[in-house]
Formats: sequence, C-alpha cells, structure tokens
Amino acid sequence: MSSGPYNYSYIFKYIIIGDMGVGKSCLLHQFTEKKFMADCPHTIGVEFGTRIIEVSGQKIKLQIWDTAGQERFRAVTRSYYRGAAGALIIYDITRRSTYNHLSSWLTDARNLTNPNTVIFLIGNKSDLDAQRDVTYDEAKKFADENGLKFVEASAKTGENVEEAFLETAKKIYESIQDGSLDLNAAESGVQKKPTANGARTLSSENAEGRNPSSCSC
Amino acid sequence: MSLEPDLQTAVNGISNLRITTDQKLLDGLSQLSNCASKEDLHLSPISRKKRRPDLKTLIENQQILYYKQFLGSITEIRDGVEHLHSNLSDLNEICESMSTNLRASKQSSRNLIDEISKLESERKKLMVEKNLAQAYLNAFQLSGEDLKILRTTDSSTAILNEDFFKVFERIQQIQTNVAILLKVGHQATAVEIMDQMGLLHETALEKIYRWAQSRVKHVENPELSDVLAKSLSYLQIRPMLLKYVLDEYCTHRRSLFVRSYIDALTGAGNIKGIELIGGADPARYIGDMLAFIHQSIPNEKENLTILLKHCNKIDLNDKIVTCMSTIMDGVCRPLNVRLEQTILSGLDCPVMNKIDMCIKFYVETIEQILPVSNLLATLTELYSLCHQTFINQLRCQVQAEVGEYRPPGPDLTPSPIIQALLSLLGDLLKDTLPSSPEQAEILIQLVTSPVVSQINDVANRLGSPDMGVYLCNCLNQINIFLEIYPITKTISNTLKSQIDSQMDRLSSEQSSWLIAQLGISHMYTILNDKVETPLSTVPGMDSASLKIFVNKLDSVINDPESVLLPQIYHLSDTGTRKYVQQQSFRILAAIYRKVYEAVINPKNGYPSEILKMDPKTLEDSLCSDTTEVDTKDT
Ligand SMILES: Nc1nc2c(ncn2[C@@H]2O[C@H](COP(=O)(O)OP(=O)(O)OP(=O)(O)O)[C@@H](O)[C@H]2O)c(=O)[nH]1
Ligand SMILES: [Mg+2]
Repeated sequence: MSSGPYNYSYIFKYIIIGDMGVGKSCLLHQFTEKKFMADCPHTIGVEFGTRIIEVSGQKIKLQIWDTAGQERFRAVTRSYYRGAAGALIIYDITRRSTYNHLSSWLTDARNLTNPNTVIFLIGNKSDLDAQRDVTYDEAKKFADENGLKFVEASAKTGENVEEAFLETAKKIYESIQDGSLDLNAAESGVQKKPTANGARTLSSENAEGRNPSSCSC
Repeated sequence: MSLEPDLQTAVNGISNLRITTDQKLLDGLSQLSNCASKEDLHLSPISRKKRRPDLKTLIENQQILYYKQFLGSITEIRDGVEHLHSNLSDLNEICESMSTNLRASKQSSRNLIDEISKLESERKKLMVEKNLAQAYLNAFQLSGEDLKILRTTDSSTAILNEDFFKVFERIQQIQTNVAILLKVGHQATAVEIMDQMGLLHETALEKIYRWAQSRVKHVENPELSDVLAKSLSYLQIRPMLLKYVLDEYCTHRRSLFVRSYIDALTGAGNIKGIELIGGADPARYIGDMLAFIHQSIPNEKENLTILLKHCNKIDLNDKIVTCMSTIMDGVCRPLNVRLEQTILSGLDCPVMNKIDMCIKFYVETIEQILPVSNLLATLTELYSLCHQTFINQLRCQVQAEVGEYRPPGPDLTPSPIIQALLSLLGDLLKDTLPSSPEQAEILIQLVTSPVVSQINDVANRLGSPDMGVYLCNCLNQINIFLEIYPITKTISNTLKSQIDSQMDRLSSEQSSWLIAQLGISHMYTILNDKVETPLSTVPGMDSASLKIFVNKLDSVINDPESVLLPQIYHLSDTGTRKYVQQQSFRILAAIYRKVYEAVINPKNGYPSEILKMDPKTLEDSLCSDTTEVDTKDT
C-alpha cells in the first residue's frame, strides 16, 4: 500500500510562464508523459499537470499550472501565480523576441509570487541549434544578474527537462529544510501531507479540521 | 617253597613281559589296578592269598555294581524316555489344539479381512459423503472462521482487511450457488440458505458501509485509500449506500473547500488574503477568486478518481463530475455575494469590461469541467448580471457624453467628446478584441452609433459645404480610429460610404466654386449648345475672353490652393482635401479639353497659338501633385 497514490510528503505548486509558442505545454507534457507533442495547440487559459518525484528520499507531488502565453490571457493567467513555490520562465532560443520579453515575465513572477518562490529560466528548443537566435552565454549572464537558475532544454529530445523540474524542487526543498519557507503560509505553494502512517492521526479531531491539501491548490 | 612257584610265575611273567600294545588289555589292566587299593599292595602275601578270591568277588562285585549302575541308568533312561514320551504326548496334544486354534483363527482372519474390505468400502463411501458434505458446506455455508471474522469486524475496525472482503465474497459466491440450487430444484434448502445468506450479506454490507462512511474523509491517507476504494466498489450493489458514503464525503470536502476559500480570501495568520487586492484592483480580485476555485478542482478530481477507481458498475465519469459539482457548489454563496457586490459597486466601464471577460472565461472553463453544477449556474447568472450592468453603464456613459455634444465653431473641428469616447472604446477593445471579436463589435456599435447619429444631427443644422466638411472631419476621425481594428469592416464601411458621399458633394461644390471663380460657366454652356456659327464670333468665346481664361488658368496652376472653397481648408484630412481639389481640377481639365478641341477646329476661326497648352499637359500639371499626395497618404 505504500506505493499508493498518496504516498508523498509534500505538494509543490509550479507555474510555467513565457511567450506563446515557446514550448511551455510541450515541456510539461515531456515532463509528465515523457513524450513530445509535435503539433500542440495554443493553450487556452491554463492547463494542469502533475507528477510525483523524489528529492532527498522524500516523495514530492508537483502540481504544475501551464499558462497560456497569448497576450489575451494575461489577465487570467496572472491569477495563477499566487501561491506558486516554483516558477519556470521559458523562452525560445530560436526567437529573440521571446528572450527580449523575459524581463516583463520576470517582473510579473516577482510581483505576483512570494520572495521564496524559486524562479528557473529555461531556454527551450535547444535541439534547434542551427536556428539559434540567443546565445547560451548571453542568457546565462541574464540569469546570473537576476539570480535565476538557468538551463537550455529541449521538449523535443527531453534534454534537461527532467533536470529543470527536479532542480527547482530541490531548491524549494532546501528552503523548507533551512526554515526559510513557511509551510503554514498558503502563499508558499508547499503543503505538507498530513502523515503517511495515518489512520490514527487523521481520525483525531484537529487533523481533520484543516486538511491542508484541500486549501491552496 | 610255596612262594617259589608264585614268584617263579611272577618272575617268568616279568621276564616274558613284553610291552603290550593291546589297548583293550591296557584298559582292562588299568581297570583292574583300580580294584586294588594301595593298602592292598602292602598286604602281606598271606592276607593277599587270603584275599585272592576276594579279587574275583571284587571284580564280580565290580561287575555287578556296573550292571546295577547300568540298570539304574537304563531305568533312568527309561524314565526319561517315558517322561519324554509323556511330554511329547502333551506336545502333540498342544500341537493338535494349536492346529485347531490355527484353523479357527484362519477362519476368523478370513472373516476379518472380509470385514475390513467391507469397512474399507464403507469408509470410501463415507469419504465421498464427507467430501460431498464439505463441498456442500463450502458451497452453501460460511466456515466458523468466516463467521468469526464477520462478527468481529465493525466500523471501529481500523482497516477492513483482506480476510473480511474474502468472507464477503464467499457470501456472494454462496448466493450465486444457491441460485443454481434453486434452479436444480432443492427448493426448501435453497430458500433456507438464501434467507440465511441474505441476512449475512446485509450484515456484511452494512459493516462495509459503516466503516466506509466513518473513514471516507481520509481518502488522502495512503493506508486507507485503497481499502476505501475497494469498499466503495462493494457498495455498488446498493446504490443508496454508495450514495450515502459519497454524500458524506462530499459534505466533508465541501465544508473544507469553503473554509479554504474563505481562508484564501481573508488570509489567516501571516497569509496574504485575496481580499487585500479587492479595493485596489477589483478585476484582479475577482480573477484571483475564480482562479482559486479553478485550481481546487484537480485535487478534488484526483481524490474522487482514487476513491471510485474500483467501481465498474457505475458511470464513473458522471459520478465523479456529480460529486465534484457538489463539493464545488459550496462556494456558490460566498462567491456570489462578493462578485455581486463588486459588480454593483459602480466601477468604471473598462474595469467592468475586464470583469465581464474574466467571468465569461470561467463560465466557459467551468462549463467544460462541471457542466451541470450550481457553480456554473451561479457564474452564468453573475455573468449575465455583470454583462447587463456593464452594457447599461457603457450605454449611459456614452449617452451622457453625447448629451454634452456642442455644434462646431467656424473651423468645423470635431468635438473633443468624440476623442474622449474613442479613447474609452480603445480602452475597452484592448481587452476585448483578442478574446472576443463579437463582443468587440458590439462595443464598437454601442459607442460609435450614438456619436455618429449625434454628429449627423449637429451637421444637419449646418449650411451646405460646412456640413460636408464637418461630417468628413468627424467621421474620418472615427474611421481612422477604427481602421486599427481588423474586425470593424462593416461599421467602417458604412462610415466610409457616408464619408465618400460627403466627399462627392464637397467635390461638386468645389467644382462649382472653381468654375464660378474662373468665370467659365458660360463657356461650358456655349460649348454644350452645339452652336453652328464659328465660336470665335460668339461673345464670351471670343479670343479676348479666351485670353482671360488662359491667364486665370496660369494663376491656378501657380497656386492651386487659391481656388479652394474656404471651408475646404477646414477639412482636417489632407487626403480628403486633395481629393476634393483634384475632382474639381479634373472637371476643369475636361472643360479645357473641350475648349481646346473647339479652338483647334478651323471651322471656329480662332487664330493659331491662342491656347499654348495642350489638355494633357494641363491635366498633368493640375493633377500630378495630387497623385503625389495620394501616395503619401496611403
Ligand atoms: N524543435 C522543437 N520544437 C518545439 C520544442 N518545444 C516546443 N516545440 C514546438 O513549438 C510549438 C509551440 O509549443 P507549445 O508547447 O504549444 O508552446 P506554448 O508555450 O505552450 O504556447 P502557448 O500555449 O500558446 O503559450 C509546437 O509546435 C511545438 O511542436 C522543442 O524543444 N524543440
Ligand atoms: Mg501551451
């Protein structure tokens, strides 16, 4: 029974943001299904994906909200930043304009999440090196200047996709460990599961009152 | 001397002595030597003589003794033999009796064997019967162990275990078996078992139900989720029980959800609440609330999916959606109160527009997830409230602005109210157009048509060229604004055709003005009159008049603007102005061509070289810069 669907200790909320067509939905799909969607329609509003991963021996469930990059959904998608523990900002290495918009995405991410939110920059479509429009060094410099983690990845080949999602979780987990992330704040985007060995704990009156998993998803 | 012969004999004897080897003799001698004892050897010869017969007696006695001994021995032997005989007889008797016994026991063994084989066959029969009985029991009865498990399990049991479910399955199996039994014809037994099992089945179901109901809220507990799922799958045969459990679950989740929603709104402890944003940014406030609700859905769905994963006899998807609806419906009231309050709080049109679109987005989103839910109904209602309010408000605002509309001054510039309304429209379209072109069209209509009709009203009160210029100015301003938006073709086309007709009117007025300015209206009449006499003799067409005409033409070419109708200067759009001018010049050029043709016709008797310019050159010089302007404008 220990391999059941609820066998995890934390839930982390992620958001994926960035211009339209940079491959946000493809990255999510690659991460959750390990497949590449060659002709992925534009996202309408937001989409949702989930996967359980392991960090330092702890099972963690990622709840990932993939937002629409189209400008017209900006008002809607902004409401989904709230309470994200991780934010993945994506640009397309073959389209400079998507890189140029990063600062606006970053501003949104900073303004609408909390100070502990781990922001990860991903240059997607690294498989299309021949059409590259943004150099690695330039993006790396931008990331360093803004204190972001950075990798180039490809939703097509899967390169670095896993790493980016896991690395983000690892950083969040570190914040929990060193106490800088307050688990009781719904804004933190992290929930601790009641307990794994729990018929007893769960049936006690106080645990029943506030089942954290139901509150900030 | 008497001794002599004896001694003689003895010596002779000794001298004749030979070592005899006859064994018999040796034995006899040694026998004899025993007869004489040692004392005998020491006897004096007299006594020895005296004793000589004694030896014989002795030997005879010895012999008799031997015989006696022999007789004794023989007697003993005889006794022994007799004893043996009697023993043997006894033995014989025993043997005989044994033989009889044996014969008897042989018989009885045979009997036993018979018996054993009989028993064996009996045993076999019994075994078969026992197996039958066991099979019967297995098929139709619970074991004591089963009953015990059933008895000791209740809703306080921490976890319903595998064994319990096995017992439950056994009961169900027995019930199926009984059905067969009934068909085969064992009515009485079958009915009895059926009653019995029916009772047990109900008991077991009841126990599952009670247990599930008390634990169902803990579906997220990894140890319970599987057992709960299993329990619910067993409850499928009693839809009501399943429903009660799910009701219990939904009620619980529903109140949790409402509470978490309120927490998210107000913030608890150090949590920043959504409501903090409310005052500053009502659209975001509403967006955040709806996003919060939307984001709660996957979790509820996952829980329900896990809870119902073993249920194969119901429409799973339908059930999950129904339950989710029940859970989510909890927030309808608090959500409704807040949204309604915000919507009716007299917000600006652009904010209302944002809220309108936001609610619309969630109506569409929720429609796909929970097509039959109070949440959707509430949102739909709120949407229509919001939309109505917004449209009314917009209508009122436009009406109010239009009410302030004042007629133009002598410069015929458009009222600033047009600009104000257009920038309001621009604000609205910025948000609306990308997501809802239809709505954008409606908004454009709502804002522009009252203004356009007001413009027309005002224009109609103006004099002729003023009206055209004013209409062109105002409508152009609107049209230039609308041209940015790709969807406004119909409205824009209507405006354009109105502008075109005004431009045509202005053109003809300008042409009349031009012709009047040049004083050539009579020339035109004469040329059209098909006069027979040479034209050079007709007054007004004589060479002197033509010279004046040529001079005026030269001044027009030098300064085309000088012959514009004064109002045309107020046309704000240079393109329109040029167009009007060009139209009038075209007419001028056409008249010139007619004059020219008449002049070069020898029948009219004009001196040569009176018109130096050929019509083409004139047309080019008048209209060329116009085309330049045209290309610049477009
Ligand atoms: N070659 C290559 N193509 C990619 C990669 N990732 C995405 N694409 C393609 O890029 C296109 C857009 O990808 P999406 O995932 O839909 O982009 P998005 O960011 O979700 O777009 P929106 O939903 O509109 O915001 C799709 O046609 C993908 O096939 C990649 O790593 N390599
Ligand atoms: Mg997408």
